[in-house]
Amino acid sequence: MYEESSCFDPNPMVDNNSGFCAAETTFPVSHQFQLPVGSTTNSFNDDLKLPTMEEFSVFPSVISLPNSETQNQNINNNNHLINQMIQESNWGVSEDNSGFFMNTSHPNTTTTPIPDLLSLLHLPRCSMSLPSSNLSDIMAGSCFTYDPLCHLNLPPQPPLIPSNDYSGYLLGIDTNTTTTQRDESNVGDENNNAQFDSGIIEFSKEIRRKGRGKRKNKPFTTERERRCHLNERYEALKLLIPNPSKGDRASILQDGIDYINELQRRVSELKYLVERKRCGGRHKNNELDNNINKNNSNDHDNDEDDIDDENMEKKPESDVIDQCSSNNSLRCSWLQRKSKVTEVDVRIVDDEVTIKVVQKKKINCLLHVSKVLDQLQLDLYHVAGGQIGEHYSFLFNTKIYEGSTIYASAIANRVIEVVDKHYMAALPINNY
Amino acid sequence: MGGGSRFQEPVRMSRRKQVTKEKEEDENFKSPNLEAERRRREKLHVRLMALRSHVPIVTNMTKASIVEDAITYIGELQNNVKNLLETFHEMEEAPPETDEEQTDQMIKPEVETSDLKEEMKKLGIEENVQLCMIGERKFWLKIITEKKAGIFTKFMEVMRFLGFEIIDITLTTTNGAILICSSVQIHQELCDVEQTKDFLLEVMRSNP
Repeated sequence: MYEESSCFDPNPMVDNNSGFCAAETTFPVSHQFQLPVGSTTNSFNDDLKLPTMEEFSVFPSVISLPNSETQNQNINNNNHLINQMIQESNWGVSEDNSGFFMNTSHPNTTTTPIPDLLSLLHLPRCSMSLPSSNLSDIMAGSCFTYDPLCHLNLPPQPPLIPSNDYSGYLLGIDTNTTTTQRDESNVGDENNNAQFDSGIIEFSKEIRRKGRGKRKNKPFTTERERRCHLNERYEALKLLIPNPSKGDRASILQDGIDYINELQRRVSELKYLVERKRCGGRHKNNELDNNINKNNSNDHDNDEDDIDDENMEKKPESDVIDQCSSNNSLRCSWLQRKSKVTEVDVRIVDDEVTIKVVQKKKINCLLHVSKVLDQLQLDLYHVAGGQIGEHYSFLFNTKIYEGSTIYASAIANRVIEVVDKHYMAALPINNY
Repeated sequence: MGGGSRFQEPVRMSRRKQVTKEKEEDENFKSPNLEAERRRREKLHVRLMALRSHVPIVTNMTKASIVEDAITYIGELQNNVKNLLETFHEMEEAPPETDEEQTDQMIKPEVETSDLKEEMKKLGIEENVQLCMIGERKFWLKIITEKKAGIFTKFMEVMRFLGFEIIDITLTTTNGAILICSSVQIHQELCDVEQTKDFLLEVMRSNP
């Protein structure tokens, strides 16, 4: 069995030269290679993850292996095939080539472990252990003529394997709960398989695209750097977003989309208001009033329905905000603001503002909201709402006074600020 | 030897079975997760494309650059908003047009109020307060009064003063009148319903 861990380190660090020995401490060797030679590939696969693509030195190194095991016919065959593969693929032999199996540096390495590894190379050609049917194609496409290598679960580019924790490689189980790239990372097999999927697909793309040489002409020399960069981008995006709900990539993207929409709406609204202010004095409100009245009766219902039906993903139609002087445009905007206990939704169609306030704790906010509405010069037309379980929910239909230049975000921010303040104040007292 | 081999065989068999079983389990185990993983990737991809579709400037079609472009664009939009707000606030403070509008604002509600009063009278809407007990400490309250600026605030102040907790409320306005229907919960026993009613009516009528 393979007792010496230093020989085999499938987790190369970035620094190639020193990499191969580095992770030995993270390496629970004892159970790793306790495999009978005749075992099927799977268990071995799980335990052994060979290095990433940049360490393709695997292949040249493997060639260097057999110095000590010539007695093994299998190994010879394997080597031959490996040689063939290497030649076909023309991979450069990297300087850490010799490091892979560490034959040269560890002469006292027993031969027993290596036959285990290599004998596995000789395993039947079928990619049955692999989840992706693409794999064999891809492998073929990228000149992997030797299928059994697949059994080693060789991920040429596992973009999703976290770069810092290599113990997972060896354990075969993706114990990396610290994966930043996979917040929902679960059991290892699934991850690994997925990694292989995209990793190998990506690898093949790389190979086809870039030829067979080293990819020094990319901005990132290592796959790891690329992954880190991508993670950084996600984090940066997350920082920009006001209230990121969850931390996983899909949510970040979704929040980003919503935030972009909201910002676009706000920009439109403000542009409209600025324009209106600029030319509002000249036109006085007469024209606008006429237009508005006309539009109100026709379009108002439609617009309001449209807005009410809108999801957060959709933008209001483009005819909504235009130069005020040019055409009969209805001002329209929509915002949501959420805090820990309060949600505020403000929708403006022309001069009507609909405000929805949902309070998750039972603190009566009506008084304060009404005061805010007075301050903001919103004329209250209709209020409905009440207590629903532990929450309060209210809907306010208001109208903006003529000439008032209030905008949606101001309303929303003010309302939520007041409500939260009141909530904070009321907390210790637990009044109503 | 025979005994030895016989001994070994079952072990080997079982191990093989076990390993086969493991392999099958692995396969079974892998496939549902494979589907989930595929769906997850698909979802991520869809969202990435959606994000890209919202961003006008796209440099590259790689994941990293899509996210990066989005970041730049969001930054741009935030700047736009900030600038527009500044412009807007500057304009707010500035010119005589604003003053005109402000006076208009002040005037209009008052004008409206007098009109409304007349309307109310025309339609025969009368001011009214009703207060009925509907449960142990629950009351139903209905108020019809003339619509004025800040009337809702006044109403809420009165509620707080009386210690009425609002369970639900509906407020509508029409033709210069305002109608408030509300269920309230009280904490202290109400001594005199009539008195409370009068008090409410008086408060709602009063001018601030």
